[in-house]
Amino acid sequence: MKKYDMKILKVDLTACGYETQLLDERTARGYLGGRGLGTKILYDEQPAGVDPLSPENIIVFATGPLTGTRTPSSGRHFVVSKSPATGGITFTSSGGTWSAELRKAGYDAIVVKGTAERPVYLWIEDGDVELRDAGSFWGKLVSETDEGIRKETHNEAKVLCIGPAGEKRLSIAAIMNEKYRAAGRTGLGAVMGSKNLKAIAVKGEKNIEVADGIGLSRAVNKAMKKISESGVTKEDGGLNAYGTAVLTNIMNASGIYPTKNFQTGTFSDAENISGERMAETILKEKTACYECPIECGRWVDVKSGKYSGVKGESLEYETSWAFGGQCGVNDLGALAKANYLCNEYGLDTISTGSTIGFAMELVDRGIISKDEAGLDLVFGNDEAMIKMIEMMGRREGFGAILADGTRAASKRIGRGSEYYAMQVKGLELPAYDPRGAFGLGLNFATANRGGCHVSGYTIAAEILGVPLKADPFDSTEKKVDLTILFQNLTASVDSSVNCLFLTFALGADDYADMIRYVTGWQNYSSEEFLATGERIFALERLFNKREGFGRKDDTLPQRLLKEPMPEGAPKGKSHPLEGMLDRYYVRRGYDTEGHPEQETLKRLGLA
Amino acid sequence: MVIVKFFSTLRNITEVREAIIEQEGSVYDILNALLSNYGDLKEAIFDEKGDIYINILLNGRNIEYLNGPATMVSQHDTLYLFPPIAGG
Ligand code: SF4
Repeated sequence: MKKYDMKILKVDLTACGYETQLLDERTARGYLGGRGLGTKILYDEQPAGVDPLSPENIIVFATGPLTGTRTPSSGRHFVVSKSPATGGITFTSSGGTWSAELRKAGYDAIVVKGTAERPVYLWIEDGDVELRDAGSFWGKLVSETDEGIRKETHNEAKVLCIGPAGEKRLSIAAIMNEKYRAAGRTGLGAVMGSKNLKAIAVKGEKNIEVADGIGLSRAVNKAMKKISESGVTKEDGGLNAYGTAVLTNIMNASGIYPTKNFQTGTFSDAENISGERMAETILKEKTACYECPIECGRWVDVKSGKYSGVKGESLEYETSWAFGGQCGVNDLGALAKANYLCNEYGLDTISTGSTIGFAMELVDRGIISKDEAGLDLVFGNDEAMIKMIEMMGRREGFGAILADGTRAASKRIGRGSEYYAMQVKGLELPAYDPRGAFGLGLNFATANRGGCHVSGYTIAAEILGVPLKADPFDSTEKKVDLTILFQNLTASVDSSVNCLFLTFALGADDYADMIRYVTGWQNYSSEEFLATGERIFALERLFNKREGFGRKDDTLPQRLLKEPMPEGAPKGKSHPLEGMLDRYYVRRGYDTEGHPEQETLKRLGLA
Repeated sequence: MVIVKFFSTLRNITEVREAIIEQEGSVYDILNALLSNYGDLKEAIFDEKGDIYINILLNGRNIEYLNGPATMVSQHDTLYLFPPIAGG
């Protein structure tokens, strides 16, 4: 049986050197890879109080035991670091094939610290590591960088890079890979920029070996059967047929589609920008990440209207909302253009659109003038929205005020604008109004990286009825427990590493089976798998505690706590956070400040 | 008059975004009226046991938390129908 090892490449950009390290089995089993491994490294190796944009901040690019194997949808990687947006620990992930290629090139994770004297990129080919000059790529857009680096290295290399937004250290800068895929949230593009690290290109031929190939084949066949039978993930199921934007109409019908900066949850033009409409108009083909049968990606090609000629990948639900409902824009062509620009500048689409919508509301309310914005920045003005994306990407004019997201912008603007900043812990909220999904609101408030939906996607149960139905307006202990379960399972899956969308078809047993056959770990069970997620979540909490986080940070924007939803099914509701939060801390074994109690730490093997 | 809107793959079956049902009654009654025009929906709506398999929202609220298929639908109400789906 092949012994499972995780090989880590440790790069010090200040010293211009690197070394490799094999991860000990205890850490590998306790934290898996991806989000868990990154969190463990940050917690152990980084002292409190480090400036996220200083050389001392560590940034980890990590795959997991499942990455690049025959297990389905295993082409994701995680990036973990201290976030310039939140000041706490964060993870962000992306799909594609970069992660599988990294493992084929001989490494399972890369840990980077220090700052290079000049712009550099890292080139890894079949185990060989080289730091190369990136001077000629500095200032270049993402597609130019990707193509240029492939020309300099290998045409089939997979390139992960930042765009101008990362170089200019925007707190909403993404890390892109293969041009269109984004590890978007929490500004880690800025961390790469602060290190003068423009890109990491990888190419390899190595076989990704597993401990028990026959056992794994059996587990994969079982998983594939479930995927092909699930209404969510099967061929021609909703995700495959319409991509993630299949959610637009459903969230709007449920009254939780945030509209014009969360002023309401119903957007009269939602149908025009829905996944169904996309399929009828601008969809060219479906695309998929490594070994993924679901194919939820969309390649779009705008054929008519003023945005005719715009092409690109990854017009996701979140993106179409951020520039659609959030900014009051109803033209799919405009959304495709906005998405294209974010990909090229290397910007997080959610935070970019959210911040522009925030500014639009400030103009609407007369808190800032159109002159001050330098544009007719009003809801529904697609041209001003698109111009503002470029201004933000270049930190120009009023774009410089908005460039670091809503929390930073509201500090710069003042005048009571912070009330309209729809963020938690410095991260802009995504496309669900928690006044109509109480579990998701609790998750938004408690997610360790800030206003994040994928930390505990209770929308699946609360709105979509998958894998069970939960009343969106239930705020009892039952809902609290459901939220905790989603958060724990997610942290486990995020460390395994494969795509979270598989959880719509697979359960913890399936993951445990696949991990056991890949690693050869005796008795690896679904209980151990789930406990791993709980441990990782608590370790993130410990990191944030060290940085001064507490109950005051586990909150929601005042609007969602005070203003009743004006229409739709959640009409009259605001979010009942306080009571839920008390119950949440108790159920998790945390104290009233939201920090894990000693007993809890012991139970999780953290004390 | 009740409006019934179709989302996701149900729309591939109906080939229209919505249907108008000139009838009141329970959700069950409305579904039966609907099936007289869109017979192919039957397999998508009900499982082998005859239970409703899809999500049905009445004015945005899942009927699961109202009165299930016996929930009464009135004039000018909107029903939204969609199969199990997820994303994010
Ligand atoms: S479901 Fe979508 S995001 Fe997930 S691996 Fe497949 S194509 Fe990629």
